[in-house]
Amino acid sequence: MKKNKTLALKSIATAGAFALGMSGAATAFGAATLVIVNSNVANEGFNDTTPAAPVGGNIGTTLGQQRQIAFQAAANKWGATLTSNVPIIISASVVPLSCSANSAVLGSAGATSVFRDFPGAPIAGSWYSGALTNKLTGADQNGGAPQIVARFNSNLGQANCLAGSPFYLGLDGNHGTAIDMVTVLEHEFGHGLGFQTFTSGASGAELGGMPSVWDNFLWDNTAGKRWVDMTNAERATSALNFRKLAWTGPNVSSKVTTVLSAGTQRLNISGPSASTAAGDYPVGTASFGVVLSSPGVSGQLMPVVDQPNGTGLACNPLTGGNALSVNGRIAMVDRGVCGFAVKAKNAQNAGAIGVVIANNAAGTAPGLGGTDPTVVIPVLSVSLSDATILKAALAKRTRTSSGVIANLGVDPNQYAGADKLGRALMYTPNPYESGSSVSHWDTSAFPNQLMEPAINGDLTHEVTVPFDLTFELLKDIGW
Amino acid sequence: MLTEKSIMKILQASQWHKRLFLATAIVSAIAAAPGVQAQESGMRVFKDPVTGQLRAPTAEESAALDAQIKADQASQAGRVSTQARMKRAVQEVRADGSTMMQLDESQMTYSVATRNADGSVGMACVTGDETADKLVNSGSSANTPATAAHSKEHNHEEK
Repeated sequence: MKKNKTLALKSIATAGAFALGMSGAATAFGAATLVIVNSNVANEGFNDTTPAAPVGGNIGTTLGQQRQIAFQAAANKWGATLTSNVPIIISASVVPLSCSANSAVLGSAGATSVFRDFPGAPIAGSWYSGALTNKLTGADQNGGAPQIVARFNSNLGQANCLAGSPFYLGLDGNHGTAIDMVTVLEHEFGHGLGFQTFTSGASGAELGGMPSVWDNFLWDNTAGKRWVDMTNAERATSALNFRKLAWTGPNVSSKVTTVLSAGTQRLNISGPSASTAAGDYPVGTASFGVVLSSPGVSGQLMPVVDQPNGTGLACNPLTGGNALSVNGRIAMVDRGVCGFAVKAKNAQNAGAIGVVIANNAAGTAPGLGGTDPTVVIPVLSVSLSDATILKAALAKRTRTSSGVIANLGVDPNQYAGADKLGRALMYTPNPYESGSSVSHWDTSAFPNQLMEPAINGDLTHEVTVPFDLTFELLKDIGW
Repeated sequence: MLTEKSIMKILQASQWHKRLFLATAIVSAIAAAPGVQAQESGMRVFKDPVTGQLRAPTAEESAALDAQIKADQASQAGRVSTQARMKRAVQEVRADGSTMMQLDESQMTYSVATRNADGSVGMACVTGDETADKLVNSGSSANTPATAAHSKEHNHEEK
């Protein structure tokens, strides 16, 4: 076992910037040296002398010192995890970034350069981040320039900059309602290290006409193709293929069952009239009603029809044929006009044992917000395209029977955040979300993962198994 | 094995480092120049967020405005559209046969936080400065953080 070689560097004041420190705590994973270079000017960011009380293990006594220590903590985590004999230099600053009263850029990071077809490149014709290229070649390929640039917002929490929601600079994760800076830093450093594709998800266009190493591991379960084998148009379509884009790297795949929880919430359709509609459907879950479970709730699926155009909103108490059809069965209700909880309560009052909400606009199955503690049946949503398939199967029915059986529950054999073959899913929302897509885990992953598009409040600072799949993915691409 | 001395050497030898020194020196000089204040002169109108009436900003509000102006200037300085920047990106073929490409802010990832209608703060990670600024300025809801599988969905809408 190597010794811990965490050091602190002296200020290089004559050069106008100084390294905050370097990290390389050796562990079973290995060691890399991350050098955080302070790019702030005097009295700004890391050099802010505003007094600050030590918090959550952060012993800095000024705001600037505490920021330095938080950056160093995030760097230490990666340094203790990665292996490289070339220092990973991060040009870092804490400066004013875009803000409004209710929104703010927390920070940004990214690779400063990419390389391909270098001697020993594991996959030819694919872009690698600068830091990873240095690791793989064992030499600095860019003249000592930083491989990563990171900028974070110095005004967060102040008036007109998401007031009241500042960074938590403690190192213990006890951030409360504040935003845990170490977690955000670890996430953004992860992208800078190479946890991203450089191919556009919106257009499918590759950077400089060449794929990223990332794209070699993206497999579209519908197209049956890797991203590197697709046209631009196919990649753009794939980026919208909700929960059908999987990561095929062997390191991640071998650890999915260790890190993720068994059980994926879904709607299963079967029955004598289901025909081609039979199978599993991805769902949006509700913030009210009972949690989907295994074996779940099963019953005949019956549509509510209370509008002249044949849709059913269920915004008013169900009567007549609608009340008869859903009694003891699962109601299918269209989205619109009133709240989801109102629809669910009206169906429940008519005797429904579950509710499927059909989206009324293109896109993925929406999460169902709302509150009503008196709703005690399971409620979920499906996309408009899936709802169209289900409605076609329901076209031939009697007033009390459709022959289409719905199960609102959990597939115990599918891991949360993985496909049926046990491969981790990447984030592919529909409609496309600029930049959020493809370079993150899908939000169905559970327990929550560091590299999901949203940083969840319950994240620890861990990046390795058994807590997190991030390092496994980095190993897949060459780390 | 790397030593403190060797890392210092790397930093000092770096061409980038020299450029940073120059850039920092210039920034420092500008910050110290008395004439810079004049660039921010002009009429300021402040609308009270509660009454809607125009009034003079408090010291705190004025400081926040200064910070916002500074952030906006930093964000807009030298801005070129993403498409234009992508066209401008150059691939450099090197002596060992490898190819390098410098990246700009259109390839960086940005964490954006947005306060939702219920007061919770959602976060989203997006690629590119233009996308990030658009998200901030639109006030669109970012992803909603969750702590349990029950509420783990990307955005919950009420109807």
